[in-house]
Amino acid sequence: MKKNIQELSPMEILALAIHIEKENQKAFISFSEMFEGYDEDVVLKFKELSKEESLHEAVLSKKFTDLFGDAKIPEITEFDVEEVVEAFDIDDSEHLIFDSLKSKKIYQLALAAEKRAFQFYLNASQKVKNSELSKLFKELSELENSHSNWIEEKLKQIL
Amino acid sequence: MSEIIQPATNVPTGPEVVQKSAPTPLTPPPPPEGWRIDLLQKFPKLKWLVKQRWFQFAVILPNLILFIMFLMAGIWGSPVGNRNIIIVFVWILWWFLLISIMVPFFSRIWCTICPFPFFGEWMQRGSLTTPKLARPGTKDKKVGLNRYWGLNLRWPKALSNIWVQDFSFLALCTFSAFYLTRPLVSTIVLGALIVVATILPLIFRQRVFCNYICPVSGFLSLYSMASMTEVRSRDYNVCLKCHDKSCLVGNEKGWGCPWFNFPSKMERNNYCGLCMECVKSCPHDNMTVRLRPFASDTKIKGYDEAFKAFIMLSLALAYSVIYLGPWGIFKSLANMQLGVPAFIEYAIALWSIPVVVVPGLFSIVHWISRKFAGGQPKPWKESFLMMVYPLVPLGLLAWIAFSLPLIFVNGSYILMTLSDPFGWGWNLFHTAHIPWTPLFAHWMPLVQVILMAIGLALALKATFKQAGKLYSNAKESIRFAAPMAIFMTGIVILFVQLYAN
Repeated sequence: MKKNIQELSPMEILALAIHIEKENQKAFISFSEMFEGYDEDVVLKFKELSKEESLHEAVLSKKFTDLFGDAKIPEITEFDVEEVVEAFDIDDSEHLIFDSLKSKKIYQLALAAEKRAFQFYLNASQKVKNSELSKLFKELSELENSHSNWIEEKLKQIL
Repeated sequence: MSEIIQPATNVPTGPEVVQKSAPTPLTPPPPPEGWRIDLLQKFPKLKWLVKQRWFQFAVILPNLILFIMFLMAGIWGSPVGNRNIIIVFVWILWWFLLISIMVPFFSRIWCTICPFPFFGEWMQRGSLTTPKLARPGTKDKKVGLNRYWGLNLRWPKALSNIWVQDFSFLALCTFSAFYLTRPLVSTIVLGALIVVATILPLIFRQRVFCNYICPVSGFLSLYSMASMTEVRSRDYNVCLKCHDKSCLVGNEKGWGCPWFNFPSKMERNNYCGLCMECVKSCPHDNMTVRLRPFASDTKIKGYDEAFKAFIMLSLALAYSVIYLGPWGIFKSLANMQLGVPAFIEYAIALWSIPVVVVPGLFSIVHWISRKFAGGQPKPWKESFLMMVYPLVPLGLLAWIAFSLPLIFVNGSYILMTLSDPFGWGWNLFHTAHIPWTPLFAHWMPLVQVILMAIGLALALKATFKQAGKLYSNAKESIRFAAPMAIFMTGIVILFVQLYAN
């Protein structure tokens, strides 16, 4: 039975956030491998984003330890909740066929994913009645926003 | 808590930063227009079947055996076309089934059973059925998670389009009279294709032959847009949550998409060969086969695809003139019976219609449409490609109209060659000596005219719908569509004139 994210405990929410960052690394690495031999910059962008996600994961893991000590991180995945929290996705299924993916586009897609995650946590923080949860969601939204800003800076460098 | 959560990088955080970025709401792509029937949900046995690892091998193998027999018939069988199974079964029966049944109803199902890439893919994968996984830390050649053999190079960027398919099909059609009537030439052409389809996978990744070279694949790609079958993800949110991307990178249950498509994100049929690997590899059972309304995909992506539409429509008309028309001179020209210089003139004329005349006329009409519509037109390329789409259902119906007489007029040859495939005097099923019996010959013109009328109706509907996407103002949209609609109608009148007379 899937839960609404607001029904999760703080520990579960943080565990989910860690899981998502971890899985995103995997997805970026998969994409980088698929585009090997294509535009080198595209491959590098995917690798860079994967590395960035690992840093996000580290920050969240530290947060978990600070909050819950040595408690085991609960096993929870995005499939346990109804909502989509943070998901990077390629905008066109035929990029590999036509070699049409540009490195700038990767940042734009990653930015869209971070913004969606930011919006998601922000909405959750406003909806939830439990103040502790609300605070956690708010902090997560701020974290996602910082990721967005990092990508926006990267995009500016490209322009 | 806030002091603990820090950004991973040195960028400012806080509410003041939040204001700078307009948040993007999480919105899934719009649901597809029209009804959909999930065939794998409705027919569990079909689902079971396509999920079997041996499925594709089992459907290709009989086809491959037949294909080899056809090639042999071309070499050792009768040189008389209508007495040889390669001519009758490939160019009459197969062609009719392909263009009139398979493509309109079942998309690229031919690609599911096509024997051309069989040997190449077998060697590339090092396996007939079971997917192999690349071993971590080794020098295994890999694409995604799967292990492959061969050089595993990427296809050149400059050729990552369907221009080669456009012109290879046109080239094949230029010499059509040779292989349509001469079994040996058919064997040479089909044999050469299978050789290329075998060699390329040893050099390049995945199905480059199917994606970029195969002349048949080019028009299957275009006309599968109109097909009533599609492979798609059931729930886009499930794909968003899935980080394995197994449909793309493969896993132990299925190869990553051999067509280099990203199946979970697929929005059109063009480059889906219905191999069912994504249905097998999806860990969430989220890929399926659906039935849908005719002509559901409407996005032409580039000029290479647009030219495919011009080429196909033009050739449907040219073939109708050459092979169905009353002018014997065209058949003689195509057959090089009037000498090489005359054949060259014929070839130049045949090429200039789809490459110069039709695109040129279309461009002029498109320019007039934009002027006539007024308002703020979208960029030229965008509106051009949008308006090429109506030629897809129109072209497909034109090809069906051309192909119907092939089967009804020459269908009796199928029974003859079934009993005597090599033309050696066999009579396996006691049908070798049945007389040539054209069926419904008198009705053919009427049926062809009806088919063209259906094609026109679909094209006009698509024309106005596409125009509506380009212009939000209804009046501008109609004014934009009107010249295009006249152009489409003019084309259909040409066909109708030809068939009715």
